[in-house]
Amino acid sequence: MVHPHLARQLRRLFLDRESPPSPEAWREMVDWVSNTYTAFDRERYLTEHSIQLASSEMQELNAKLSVERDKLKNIFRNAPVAMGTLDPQGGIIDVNCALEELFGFTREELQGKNYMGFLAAEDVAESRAAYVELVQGIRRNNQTQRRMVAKDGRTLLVNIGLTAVRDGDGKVQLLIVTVEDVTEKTHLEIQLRHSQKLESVGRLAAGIAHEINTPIQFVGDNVNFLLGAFDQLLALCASYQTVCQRSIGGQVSAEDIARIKHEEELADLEYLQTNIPTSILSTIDGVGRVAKIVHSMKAFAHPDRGEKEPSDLNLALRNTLTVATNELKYVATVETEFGELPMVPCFLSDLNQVFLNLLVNAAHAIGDVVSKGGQRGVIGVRTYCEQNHAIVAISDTGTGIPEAVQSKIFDPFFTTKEVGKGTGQGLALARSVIIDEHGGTLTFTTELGKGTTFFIRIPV
Amino acid sequence: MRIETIHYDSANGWSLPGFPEMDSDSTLALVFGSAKGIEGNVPLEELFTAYPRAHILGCSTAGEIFGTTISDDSLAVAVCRFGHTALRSTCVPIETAADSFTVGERIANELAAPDLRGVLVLSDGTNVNGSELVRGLNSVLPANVVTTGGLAGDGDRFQKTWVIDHRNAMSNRVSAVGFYGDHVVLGHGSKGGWDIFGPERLVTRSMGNVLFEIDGQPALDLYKKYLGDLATGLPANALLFPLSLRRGGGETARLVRTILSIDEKAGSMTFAGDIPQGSLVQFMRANFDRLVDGAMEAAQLAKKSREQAGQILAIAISCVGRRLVLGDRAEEEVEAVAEVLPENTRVIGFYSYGELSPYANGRCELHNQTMTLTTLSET
Repeated sequence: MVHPHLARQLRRLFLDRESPPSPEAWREMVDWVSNTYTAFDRERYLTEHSIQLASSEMQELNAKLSVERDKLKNIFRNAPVAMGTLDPQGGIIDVNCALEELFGFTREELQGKNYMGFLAAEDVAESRAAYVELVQGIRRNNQTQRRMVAKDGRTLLVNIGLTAVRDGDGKVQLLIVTVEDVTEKTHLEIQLRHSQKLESVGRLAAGIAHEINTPIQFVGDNVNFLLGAFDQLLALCASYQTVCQRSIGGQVSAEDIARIKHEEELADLEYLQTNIPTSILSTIDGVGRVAKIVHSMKAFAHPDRGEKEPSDLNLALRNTLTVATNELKYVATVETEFGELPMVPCFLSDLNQVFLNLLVNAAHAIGDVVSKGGQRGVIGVRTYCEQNHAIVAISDTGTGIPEAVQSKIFDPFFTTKEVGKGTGQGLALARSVIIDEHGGTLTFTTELGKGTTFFIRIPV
Repeated sequence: MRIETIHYDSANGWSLPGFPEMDSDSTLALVFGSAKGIEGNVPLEELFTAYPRAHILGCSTAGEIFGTTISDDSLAVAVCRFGHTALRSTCVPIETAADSFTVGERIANELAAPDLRGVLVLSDGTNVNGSELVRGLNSVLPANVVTTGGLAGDGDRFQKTWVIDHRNAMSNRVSAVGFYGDHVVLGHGSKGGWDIFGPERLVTRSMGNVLFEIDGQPALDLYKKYLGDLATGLPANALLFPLSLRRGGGETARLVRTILSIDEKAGSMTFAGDIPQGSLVQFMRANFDRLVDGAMEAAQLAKKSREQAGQILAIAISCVGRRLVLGDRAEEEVEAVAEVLPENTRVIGFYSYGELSPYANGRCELHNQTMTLTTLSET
């Protein structure tokens, strides 16, 4: 079988014929063969040379790759976050040092086991469903709080992050899991919330004392007045009794009548008749006011029972307004517009704290205007229902929030208030309560020099 | 459809005693000739006079192909009178290479019509960015319009080319003819026949047709490293070692890019077409027999595109690089083409500074270092 290239040359030079070839054709043929050999030599050189170069490049790349692989492995092993890799069924492929340390298990003890086995029994069903959704691609990642059990039997409250890693065809290769121990953090948060409440109770105490003092004072005055009036009435009664006894013996003289008249004049009976009922009513009112404050105070500070309870937000707002009266009344008039709200399942004590924080902020914002010679402002509290959400809008006619700080106001420890007036925790806490605890939203609209309105939206 | 081919050179004059009487509105006369012009363009004028009504397209070359022969300082002419196909031609000036896209767009807009089936483009060869010209054409023409053609040549001088514009040989022009109606049958094929070697690499820095870095390394250094001992022949032998180019994003089609010059100081290489950043390149080398095989494959493709009966005109546009590489053996590729095409085929064409032909996806592309064939016939 003649090579097609040679066959073509033979054909071109008529060397494929029976007749003897011409010397020119032969020469050309020899040239062609010679050129072919030269080309072959060049090609062989290039082939060998490039294979050699490519293979040394490959070796270099392999070495680099192995360094990179070790680096990646080390990054994973020593990452300061507890993490691991899981197969699509939940089997543990690998874990890093931080995870070993967190749970007290060694890598070997964990490898091959199913990660669901380390969850608290009551969390397993929900976790398994979420895991299946991840593997099926319904979600790309998943963040949840779960309880997991460490080797020594401790139950840890952890934030678990899961991400599915897919190959080019979309098939799940593995899942990356990160575990953050929030047991301590959660305790601290609870403590912080509690201490915030104590702090605000403390801060409110002076105002509340003042609020109680006023009615107590006039109740006291009234009682004193009544005591005096009672003495006078008793004295008058004694005189009447004397005259009565005398009249039985028919001995009432004109002097007796004159003395009674004189005593009546001394006691100013007309005055007592008018003022005693007023004084009693005023006392009842004063006592009522104190009772209301105490009741509000109790309602405000009422501890939650650890689960959401259906609550009347309008009532809660009224109570909060009562306990905060002294914080608000010197700078603003409070205007309320309570719409009809259904009972909202919530942690009421936490919500009270949020309402209070927003009301105090509103008063401070208006206070800034008042202190610069501005007029008293208005704090508006409006509630309404919209698309299965209860909405509480708390507005002020204060300074407004400058654009530069708008994105930071919910950051913990961010405050624009002077030292001692704000800790930067109020709005951060409000956000955490509304969004994290209640799955609601906390937004605001603001205009410099006009004021700000915060909108709390809580699912009903 | 009637086809006649005529050749002119100084020694022998016109190859026919007189011009065939085929002048009409649906006659196309193609002429490929020397960049320097022949005898004060008198023969060209004779051709123009003989066909006052015909659409005349033509350009200068780096070698005229006439049948199975290649010559310089000659004219290769094909006259085709179509029976059932309408023609429309245009010629647009191009000021600078930066206008290439707009010019392509304008030509396509002038020719576009619902029954447009094919476009043959002949462009200035030095004052144009072929990649942009094609992009401009593609931006207007639908994918079912077969667009082929080439960039005019100026021997191996790369200085000044001409294109026929209203019966004048002019520089800085792009001309095109459109074929309309369902009777025209257009075939096309474009093949290189170069061998690749070394690993495929990523273009990490480039600008237009200047390549600076591949895989983060200076392009020229890497190129020389892989040529080894053969690098001593640079830049003269750069033609033997072009670059294969594959656009990123999973594109499988490969283009060949010829090296025009190298810049030792900048470590860069300049190519006869864009080398986009992010595309994949691989070194290539010439193998004479494979180049000839490539020409045959191009002819197979052009033939297979659709069965063609009656007379066929094959327009062979081959890269000047191939002629320089093949040297005395250049005629072998033309012979190989003629061997594959049906007997009733007339072949004319030229060695060019760039070839235009559709790739597998149907869209026209600028090619370097290929034999590009367009076959024309009528049913």
